[in-house]
Amino acid sequence: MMETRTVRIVRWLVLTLLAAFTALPMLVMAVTSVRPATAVRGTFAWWPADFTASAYAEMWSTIPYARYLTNSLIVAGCGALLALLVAVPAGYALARWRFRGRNAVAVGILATQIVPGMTFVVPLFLLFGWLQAQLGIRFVGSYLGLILTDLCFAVPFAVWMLARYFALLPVEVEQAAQVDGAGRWTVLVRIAVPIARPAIVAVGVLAFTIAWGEVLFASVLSDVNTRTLAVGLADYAAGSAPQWNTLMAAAITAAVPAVLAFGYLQRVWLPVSVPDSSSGRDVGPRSTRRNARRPDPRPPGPARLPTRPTAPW
Amino acid sequence: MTDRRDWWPYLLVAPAVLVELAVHLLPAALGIWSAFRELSFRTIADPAAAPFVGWQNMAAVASSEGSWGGQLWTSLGRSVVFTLLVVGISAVLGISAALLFGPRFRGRGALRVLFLVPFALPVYAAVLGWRQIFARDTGLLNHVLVDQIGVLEERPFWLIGDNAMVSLVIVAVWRLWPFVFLMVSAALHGVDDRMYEAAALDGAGWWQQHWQVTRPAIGRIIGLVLAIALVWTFNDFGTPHLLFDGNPPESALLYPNLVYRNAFGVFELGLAGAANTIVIVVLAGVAGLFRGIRVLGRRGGRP
Repeated sequence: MMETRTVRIVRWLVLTLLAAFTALPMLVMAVTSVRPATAVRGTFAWWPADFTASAYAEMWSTIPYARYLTNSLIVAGCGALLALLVAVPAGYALARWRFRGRNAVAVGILATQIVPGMTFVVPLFLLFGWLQAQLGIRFVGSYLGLILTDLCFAVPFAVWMLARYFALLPVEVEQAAQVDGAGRWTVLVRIAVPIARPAIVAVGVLAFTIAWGEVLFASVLSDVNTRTLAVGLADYAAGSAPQWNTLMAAAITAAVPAVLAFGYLQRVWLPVSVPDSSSGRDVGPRSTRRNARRPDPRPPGPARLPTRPTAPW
Repeated sequence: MTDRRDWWPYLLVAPAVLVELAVHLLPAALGIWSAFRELSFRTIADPAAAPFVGWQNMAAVASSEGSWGGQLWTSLGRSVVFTLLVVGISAVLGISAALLFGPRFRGRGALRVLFLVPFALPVYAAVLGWRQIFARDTGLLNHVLVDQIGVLEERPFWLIGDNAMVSLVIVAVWRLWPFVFLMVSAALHGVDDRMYEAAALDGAGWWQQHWQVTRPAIGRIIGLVLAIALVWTFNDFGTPHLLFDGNPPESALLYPNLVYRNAFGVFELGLAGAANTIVIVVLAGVAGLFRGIRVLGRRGGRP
């Protein structure tokens, strides 16, 4: 594209400002985490006068970071696995078959994403309390309740993204296997799931990161023993005399897995999650750079065994 | 053709549908049920036996004479203003960054990674970091404004009082704009470079190329991205909750945090159910209105 000098100057200016804005809190966190506790209670400093990494050692016992980390790992890990377990078959079915109620399922799942989480957490709290009294199983304050509510946001988007991904995969391999006598379960488990494994892993990792950062459900449904990092760090910050260097060290440590996961993810999930520009106004063929990264959505030749409806979205 | 009576797809969908019924449909129904029950700390032990109170809960949260003192409407209004501000600013930042990002330049890769971090950071980590900027005595902002530049004599409060909303909008924009940037950048990949070359041959400058080629090509995607951003921002509970230590000041009390405070602070669960029901009805009404306008607009466009 032709560029004028003005465009280059504007780019430099805008991007520099945005970079400063973006980096500012990260810088503050990093600097605060390596200052001594006494210095952090005083005025702000752009650079630590006395460098100390003690906050990274102390946080394990004082916050207590170790317990919150374990809780977050358990809740987010189980939540992501459980979500995948129900979302993989559902996404596959939505991508491969037309069936009665398919649109209702697809639209219903999307609709839940628009409704405020508050609408679900208040009744779920009531429901969990009632079930607890009826069944004698602890829901409020237990891992079980937290994991179940993780499904609240993990399942819809997992189904949504997996359905889109399965719809992009060529159906011919599955048809060939079926011709060779493989049952439908075998086709799903031995053919479709292995082919879609990068997307399944990506969706699982994303479900994990969302649960990792979830605040609302965890605030309502966790107790002293099951607090996740989100609630634990917030409570520590709201408590009496929090050490901000320790808190920042803990926040940075808690952020690292999420950032790494996201870096890994964005290669995989961007092609799936970005709405297809070809269904908008027709502006010519899409660039080959993009096409190279995603499976060909429309392979030539007539589809034979299961008909392949377009993704419901 | 697939047999409509084929049970296999139903079997595959069943677990997800069951989960959805359990975590979404059942709670939604229960929420509406609770809107008509006297559910408070007195009756919470046995919610099934909570007495029916008709429209009392609705009246209590909706009228200015009720126990919520009209706070539902002020917080809803505040949420709308907050949402429009945050999404508007994020859209401008995200779209301009994505457009300016186009061709190769030095530091492009590093900048791209940097811009993605706010989107990837867990909300509590990022917001706790921002509190070290806005803290009155130990924060960066007052250090710069008062100690370094000296434009202010007194250290202002940024997290209580009227400034709280400003701080909240800044943090929310910081978290949201990279999403717009990311999505618009990805959509721009899909626009054929030859379209720009053709436009340039016809004498279109940078701005005209984007107005004539980019806008029609990715306008629909931008609409979708902004719709998602609106929903996320309107429903955002975590950012204000963490920024204000779980207790937002009146000037920055948004709807989700108001309901949270009343539902789990003082266990007014029936009133919270009523408030949620009212908000859902209002949101559905607004969505229906927009849809109606769009349908009418489309019909008007055709002979």
